[in-house]
Amino acid sequence: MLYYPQLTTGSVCQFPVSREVKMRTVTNDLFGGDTIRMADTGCAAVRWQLRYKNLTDGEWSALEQLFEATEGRFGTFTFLDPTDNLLMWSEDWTQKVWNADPLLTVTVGRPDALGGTSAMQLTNNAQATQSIAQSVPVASWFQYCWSCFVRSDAPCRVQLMSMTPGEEQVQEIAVGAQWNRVAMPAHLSTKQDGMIFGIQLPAGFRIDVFGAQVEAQMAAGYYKKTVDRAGVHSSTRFDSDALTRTGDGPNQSACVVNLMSNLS
Amino acid sequence: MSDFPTLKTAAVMQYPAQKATNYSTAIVRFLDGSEQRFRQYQSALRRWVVKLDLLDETELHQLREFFRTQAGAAESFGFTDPWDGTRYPHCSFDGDLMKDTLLDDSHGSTSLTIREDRG
Repeated sequence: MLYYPQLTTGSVCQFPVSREVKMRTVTNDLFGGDTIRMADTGCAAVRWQLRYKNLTDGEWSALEQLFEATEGRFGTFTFLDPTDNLLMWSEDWTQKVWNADPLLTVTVGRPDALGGTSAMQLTNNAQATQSIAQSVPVASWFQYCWSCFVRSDAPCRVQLMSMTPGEEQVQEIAVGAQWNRVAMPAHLSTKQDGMIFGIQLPAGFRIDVFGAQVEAQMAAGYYKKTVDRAGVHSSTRFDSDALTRTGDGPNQSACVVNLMSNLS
Repeated sequence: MSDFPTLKTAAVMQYPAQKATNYSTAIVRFLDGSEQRFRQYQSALRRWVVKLDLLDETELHQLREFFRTQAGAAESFGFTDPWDGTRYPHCSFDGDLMKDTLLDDSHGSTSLTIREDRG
């Protein structure tokens, strides 16, 4: 499977990033000002314009290799939207995309870190560690940051985890009475398609969690709420048949990359 | 029905803000120069241009998600006019395109046009 490459800094792109969402609505405008509208969901598409400066030869080479592998606009690859959250249902862990161990209870509608009521309470009713996690179709060897807000009435320690078949990273974190955003940089060496991000609770513990987020970068960015769609675009294409490199000096290249993906 | 989202400041728009009131008049002109006019709208329809700048990623993402869940111009939502506080329950996006730019993680900008629909 092909993936749009990360830079050596662990990020997918540099600022500025431009993004464009285009839908299609069939509209019948009536004389009186009424409209009859119908969405044509199959036409929805998203486009990005990524502008790069000071790319090293290695970074440029990775971009060029992908461009050659896809033969310009012909082939597809997976693009991890740098402006989006890679997890779905970031505020509703009762959805099917979240896999909870059988004796872990998830209760929704708790007061959250941003003043709303979108937090969840996780209760481990078992005599052993229980976990809840989401599987994401991304490259396991990329750099990620997995973050969420946590609090607990009784201080405890839980574990954030990131894993792929054959390799696992775990980070223990202290949970206090106040909301705290915790983050775990994840970088595995195994080359697999797909990763799992989750949280493990020791036996008998109960915590409040909110705002799960995974980004393909070193550190956590602003929180972005997601529902039924996340920032993993598995059939992205280059939006041009030409990729132009501007050499600004030795080991310093600049280019503009246009990408597009269907939203349906 | 959902409502157009507010920013972290609880505002929905920033300056410069635009609001338009639209009527539709049909005019029949005769050879002698006289004319007859017909009112096509039973009442005016409003339109707002919402230009937003200096948004952080959370705010910009919220607007993107709202635009996506509305399927562009297809669905209706409620919009509260910031000039007079009136809530217009039947509004939609006036177009199927949303462009935005992030200059850095707390400097996003976009522009959206909202139109009032007949209920």
